[in-house]
Amino acid sequence: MLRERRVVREIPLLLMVPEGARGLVLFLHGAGGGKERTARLAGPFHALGLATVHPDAPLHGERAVAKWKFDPKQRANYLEGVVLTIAAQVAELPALAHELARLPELAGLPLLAAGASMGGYVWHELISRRLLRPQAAAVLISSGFPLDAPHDFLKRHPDLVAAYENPPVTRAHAYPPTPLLHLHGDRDPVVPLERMQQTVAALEPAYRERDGRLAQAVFAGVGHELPATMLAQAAAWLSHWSG
Amino acid sequence: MKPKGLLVFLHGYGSDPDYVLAQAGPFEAAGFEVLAPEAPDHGSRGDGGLSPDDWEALARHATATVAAWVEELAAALPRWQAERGLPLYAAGFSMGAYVWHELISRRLARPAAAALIGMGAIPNVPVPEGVELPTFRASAYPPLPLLQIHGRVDPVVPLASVERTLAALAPAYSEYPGRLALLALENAGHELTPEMAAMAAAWLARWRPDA
Repeated sequence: MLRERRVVREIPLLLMVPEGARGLVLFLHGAGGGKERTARLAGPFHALGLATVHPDAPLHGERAVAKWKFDPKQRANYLEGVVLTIAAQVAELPALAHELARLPELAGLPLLAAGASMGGYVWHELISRRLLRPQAAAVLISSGFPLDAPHDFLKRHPDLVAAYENPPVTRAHAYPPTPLLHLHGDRDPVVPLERMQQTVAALEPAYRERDGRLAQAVFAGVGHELPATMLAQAAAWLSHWSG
Repeated sequence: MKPKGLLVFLHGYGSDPDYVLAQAGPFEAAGFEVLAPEAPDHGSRGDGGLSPDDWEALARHATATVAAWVEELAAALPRWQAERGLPLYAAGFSMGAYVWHELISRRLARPAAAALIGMGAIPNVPVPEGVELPTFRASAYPPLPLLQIHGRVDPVVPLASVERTLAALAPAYSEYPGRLALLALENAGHELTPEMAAMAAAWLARWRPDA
């Protein structure tokens, strides 16, 4: 299997390609994470013949900037950093995906979406704004709503009001026919399970003519984490729809 | 290649093994030998000749079928396993899913993992007075990895009954996070779809020792 660190369009990433790969998973990490974290979790995808690409998000990993701590205890700094990261990553990923498709190792492979927490929300933005059209998507421990903002946060950031008032789920019609699976723990203290369920409920009318393409998996006793069993289900979903 | 597990896939009421075998592909690709036995009084074993309009008679017949199938599977499963020398895995659709709940909760079978589709441990027919549902025996399940798969708009077995199953079992799984899960497919009905089969196969394969 090919495992390499590369820089594509100035984005450091890890590229992992099993023999005979038949799909490319663009796997986005969460706030405070980095490419190495999702790469460590990618085994179930490789086992099913899916290549994975793990980019460092803006302000993360090799692109970290000291000002942004991504420490949830520093709420204002955390929230602002996450919002800035999301906006920057949404802006840069369409060009990255285009460039990845031109790499000899990945040429011709269908694009598949996986994202954890913040990375899942980034995929919601990309799909709902029709910036990328993956063949299938698996959103882990995330939702189509932004993080709850403190009372005065939007007053200090009027440029973000529109994003908060028009979250991805308000653009439900843009999602089908992309098969979309949400995977979530029922004890998630960061992204409450209800947020994911509200997301699926908001998207459901748009999928009414698309039997089985919108689904949710809930894992009992699981918090804001990515157990192997959850990753295996995400990989199976993407593999099923990659054919 | 030699199979790595024996998957016993039980069909639903009024159905037959062909219905579940039509979705055997993902399980076989994942390394399972798939065995789909025929329920008592079904298919070549006689179909009871019941009219779907006679609901009470149908319910009695379904209850009797479940009881008979549980009894014969409790005897047959160890034999099938011994003949093949393979670990046992469970899959079932509708009545077949409920039969697995009976087998597991009564400790009559101990599969390595289970993926049950279209019904939980709460049947859609009246339960005779004094009979305890499998959910009363929740402590018998863990550490069995159990995935329930269900269509959101199932008109035969409401999703709510499976959600109640999960809620009843969850306390017993408190020390086994991630081993009890519910996959709900929006706009899917009382059916066994290719997506459901793919996800069930992945769940079962995940829990094999070689995973």
